[in-house]
Parts: sequence; structure tokens; C-alpha cells
Amino acid sequence: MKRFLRSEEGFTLIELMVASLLSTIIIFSALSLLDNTTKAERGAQARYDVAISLRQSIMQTTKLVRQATAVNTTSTQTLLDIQTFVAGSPARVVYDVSGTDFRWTLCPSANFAFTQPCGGTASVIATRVSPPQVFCYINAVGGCDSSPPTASKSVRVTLSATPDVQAGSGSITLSSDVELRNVH
Amino acid sequence: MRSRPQRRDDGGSALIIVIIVSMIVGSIVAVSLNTGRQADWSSASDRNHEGSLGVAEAGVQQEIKRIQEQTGSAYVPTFAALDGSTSQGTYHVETTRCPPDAADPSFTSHQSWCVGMAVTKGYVMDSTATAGVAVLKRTRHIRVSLVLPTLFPANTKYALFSSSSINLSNNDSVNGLADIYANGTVTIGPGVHLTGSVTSALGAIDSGASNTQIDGNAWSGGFNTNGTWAMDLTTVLGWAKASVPNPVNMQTCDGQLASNYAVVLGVGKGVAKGVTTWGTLSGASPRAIDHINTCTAAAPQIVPCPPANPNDPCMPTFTYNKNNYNPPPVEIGSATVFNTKYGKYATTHPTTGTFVVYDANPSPTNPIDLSGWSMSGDLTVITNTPIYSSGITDTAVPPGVNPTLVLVSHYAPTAADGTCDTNSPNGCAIYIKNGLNLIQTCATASLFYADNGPIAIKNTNGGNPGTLCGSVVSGGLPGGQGISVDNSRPIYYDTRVSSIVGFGDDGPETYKVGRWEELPAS
Repeated sequence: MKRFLRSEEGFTLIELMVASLLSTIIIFSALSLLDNTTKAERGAQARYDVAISLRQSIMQTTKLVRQATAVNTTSTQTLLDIQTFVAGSPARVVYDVSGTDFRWTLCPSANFAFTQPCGGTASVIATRVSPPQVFCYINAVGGCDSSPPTASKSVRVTLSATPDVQAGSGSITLSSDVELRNVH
Repeated sequence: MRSRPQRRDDGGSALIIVIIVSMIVGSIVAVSLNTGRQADWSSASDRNHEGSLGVAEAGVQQEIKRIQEQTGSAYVPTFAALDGSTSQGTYHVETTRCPPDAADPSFTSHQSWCVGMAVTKGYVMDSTATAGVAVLKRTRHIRVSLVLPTLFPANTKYALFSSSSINLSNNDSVNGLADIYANGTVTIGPGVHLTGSVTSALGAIDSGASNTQIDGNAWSGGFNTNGTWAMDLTTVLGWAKASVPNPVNMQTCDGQLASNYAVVLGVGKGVAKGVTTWGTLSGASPRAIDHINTCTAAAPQIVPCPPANPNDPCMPTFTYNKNNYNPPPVEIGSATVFNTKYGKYATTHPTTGTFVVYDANPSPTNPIDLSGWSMSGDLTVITNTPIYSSGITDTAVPPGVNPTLVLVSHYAPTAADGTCDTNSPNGCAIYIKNGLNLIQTCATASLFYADNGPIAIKNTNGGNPGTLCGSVVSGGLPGGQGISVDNSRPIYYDTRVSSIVGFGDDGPETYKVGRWEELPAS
């Protein structure tokens, strides 16, 4: 007990202040590091979410494009009009970019022919897409044209999107060359 | 002794700080690891998703190889599943022939895929593939139909198709939505009626005889031997175009003589939708819809299959594979032996099957003779020597059976053989006369194919008009005879001849992928 009481006298004010200061610096540094890491993780998560969204969009798109039976020759870099199979039935599908939204439209069966307007209601499958030039059409020498040749057999789908500002600069780009299995 | 309590107190503060800092650092590490793990998991999962598609297609390719090598298009009532693997995963392929039996458990899901495929003419393959392991495992399911290639490219339909000339005479008719296509001159005799279009890629079109009518269009790419006209027409309900093969300068038409490309119209007749010609129009005054001295490019000429442009016409190829036939074909090495053994027999015993005769000395004096043959079902004859017949009948075919008659002759006549027309069989690869006594309702679909020589069809059988339902395809002789048809022969194109085993518009292959689709993985 005597020794214990004596030990409470062990630190000077300066020692305590220095110790407190050092502790504060260490804790603040660690907290700052944690904050930065959290922000970075949040940014990474946002980029990850965008990448996941793009992956899902490109998978959905390439699946239907891959089994397309015909490509409308009026298709462009921002609009792809195809006849394909949806759930086992022949269907006409249009992909397009409106603003920064990448959308798809399942045309009513009455408008299956390319000579008809598609009609139908567009659904957004990816946001923050930029630039809007998503499609190009691979030609016989391996180049990619802005419009499809008469019998287009391969389509390149390129989706780019930028996460929100806090996630940091730089966009994410995913690209896939799709061979049309039903166009012979 | 004073230092010990001091150290203990220092130790206490340090421990707290160490714990706090450790927690913070631990949190950072945990967050970083979590982010990395998510990215890795997602990346690996997607990689397996992509990889499994390649594995599924590898399974399909293996199955196609197995079908081509082992069975051709022979009837296969049951088909063992195929299991295999690649470096990325494993596949399981189940195959159903088309059309499936009602007792087949896959019938419901596959019957819609077999539309248009007759018995033994197609397969549907389901390939399910898995790539990756445990939670990263991804599975995909694709379904692919395997169909016979079409006779002509891009599903075009030709009732008469010749790399040389075509000659129709004496009230023949070509009916249905099918056309006539030739590289050489097309001659259309008196009273001939064509419901489709006529194209001569390099020659003239002569339908100036009385009462001829072309319901479609007439398109020439050359001119007659005298150089006086490109087309002599009576009645055309579509348009007529006298063109020049592959012109570069459309102003001068590469210096071609306009006088060669005149279009002659019969008095009181005409071309309903206008004439376009590099030459002039005679027999009638140009109308507002006619264009004279106007250069246009001729239709593409028939080339060997496959053509550089997939939509261009090409001479179909035929590839013989004995595995393609069930029951197996009868293979004989002599036309004489064949005629002795089967010639008389088949006239009194209705016959079905596939006969392959490769003679060491093919010649017009040593032909296959099918005179008087009676069919009881599908009949296919493949040979390297000429095929002659004075009458083939399908009257013994049981009701409800719709057979095919396929005659294939690879014989290439020589100059010494003479000419081939309806009165001169010696120069023909296939010569049919005196009745092709087939049922007029087109129960039998016929394909006559001679890739190296001409074909002539002469005379009907008394009161029976001897309707020919199908297609006649001739390689003909360069610049010479191709197809000749005589005497009131009605010809109807029949879509069944567009899928005959052994033929293809894409080179020597038995099957090709018809429809490819990804289905939800079960």
C-alpha cells in the first residue's frame, strides 16, 4: 500500500503532457488512416458496384446478341436492333443509350419485322454510361464499323461508366466481341 | 524500486494505446481484405461464367464430331449421353434425333426445335457445362440444333439450275415460287409458262416463241450468237433487264456494243414493269418506265460452292458417305452387274433403297438403266456413269408415304460422246424419257443432279403429264448443253429437295448448326 501510494507520485506534469500528446498524435494518425481507408474502401465499393452492374448488363446483352438471328442494318453505334430468341421464342430486341442510361426494349411480337417500329417500353439496365457509342460491327478484316454490313456476324459491345465523384476519377470499361451463332 | 510502479503505469497506457491502434489497423486490414476478396470472388465467378460457355460449346463440337464420324444421318433411336472435360470445366451433352419420339422424355422441349426436320434429318443437342469449384462454380446450358445444309445458298429455290444452258420447249411449265437460273442461254419454247423469274448470268434469254409467259422477271447478262439481241420476249409480268457482266465504267459499259444488247418484244406483248437495257428496244416503243442505253451489272454467275459472297448462286456439292444411309447402301462396282441384278427385278418388284455404282469404265455405252423401275419408297442412285431411264413409276408407293427420288451422276461427257438433248442421250449425264410416271400430287420429290454433265428429260407418259416435283441441277458442259426439257412437262419446285443428305451449299459437310440458344441452367 505504501509502495502503491508512492507510485502515484511517479509522473511529472511534463511527462504526462508529453505522453498525452504522443498518444493523441498516434490515435489521430490511426483514425485519419482509418478514415482514409474507409473512404478508399467506399470508393472501391462504388467502383466495384459499377463494375458488377456493367458486367451484368454486358452479360445480359451478349447473351441475346450471341443468339441473334439477324441484325437490322439500320443499327448504329448507340442503337442495336436484333431478332433473337427470348425464353425460347423468336423476339425482336432493341438496345439503346438514352442520356447516360443503357436500355433494352422487348418489341411486341406484332413488330417482329425490322420494317416495323419496335414499340414496347424501354427498361434501364445500366446507368452512368458514357460515351454512348456502345456498339460497333466487326468487318471482314477485323476492323469495327459504325454500322453493320449486310450480313453482320460479330458485334462488339463496349460499356463504359463512371462511378460517383467520391469514388475518384476514371471510368470503368468492359468490352466483349460477340459472334452471332445463328447468323451463317 | 521506484521504477517498477512507473513501468506498470506506462505499461497500462501503452496497452490501451496498442489495443486502440491495433483495432484501427485491424479494421483497415479487414476492410482492405474484404474489398480484395470481393473483387477476387467476383472476378473468379465471372471468369467461370465465361469459361463455362466455352466448355459447353466444346461439348457440342465433340458431339457433332461423334455424329459425323459414327452415324451420319442414320436413324439413331437412342443416343448415349456424352460426358467430357476441358481444362476449364466439365460438360454433359444429351442428344435427341429429330423429330423425337413421343415416348422420348425430351419430346416436349425438343419438338419445337425439330420443325422442318424430317426423320433422320437432324439432331438437337443439350450441352450443360460447369466451370470452377465450390461457391465459385458456374453452370451454363446451351441447346443447338444440327441440320442438313440447304441445297442452294441462303435458302434460295431453283426449279432448274444450270452452269450452262437451259432449254424448255412445247408447253412445259415451271410452277411455284421457284426460279430458273443459268450461266448460259435460256431458251423458252412455245406455250411455256413460268411462274417464277428467269436469269441468265452470261447468256441471252429467248422466249420469243408464241404464247410464252414469264410471271416474274427476266434478266440476261449476254447476247445471242448472232449478236443481234440479248432478250427476245413475249409476255413478262415483271421487269426485264439486259445487263453486262461486271461493268466498271457505267457510262460506257466498258465499251460493250449496244447493238448486242437489244431487247426484242413480240407484237402486242410486253414487259409489264419496264425494260432496262444497254441496247435498244425493238418491236415496241420505249415507255416512261423503260430505260434504253442504260448500263447495269448482270446477275452473279454460278460458281462452285461455297461462293465468296454467301448470297451468290453456287453449284451444290455432293459428298457420299455410306454412313449417311439407313439401311446401308448397296455398293456395286459395275454398271453391267447392277443392271443385270436389279434392272429387271425392280420393274416387277417395287424397290426402295440406295444404290451406289462406281464403274471402272463409265460411258454412254455403259449406263445405269432404270427403265420401268417401280419405287416403293425413297430411292437414291449415285454413280459415275450416265443414268438412263424410260419410265420410273411411284404408283406402288403406299398411301401416306412421300418418298424422295434422288439421281446423282458425276459423269463428265467427252466431245466424242456427242450432244445431249431430248433426242440425243449419248452426251447426257442423266437422260429420262417416255414417262416419269410420278404421282401428280407431288407425293414423290425428285432431285436430278449431274455436276459434270447435261440432263435431258423427254416426253410424258401418254395421258399422264408426268409431273416433276423437285429440282433439276446440272453442271452441264462449259458453254454448251445444260438442261433440256421437252413436251408438256409440268415442273413444281418441292422444298423437300432442299434438305437431301449429302448435298450442301457450304462444301462437303453432312450437317451444320441450325439454331443456337442459351437456356437457363437447371
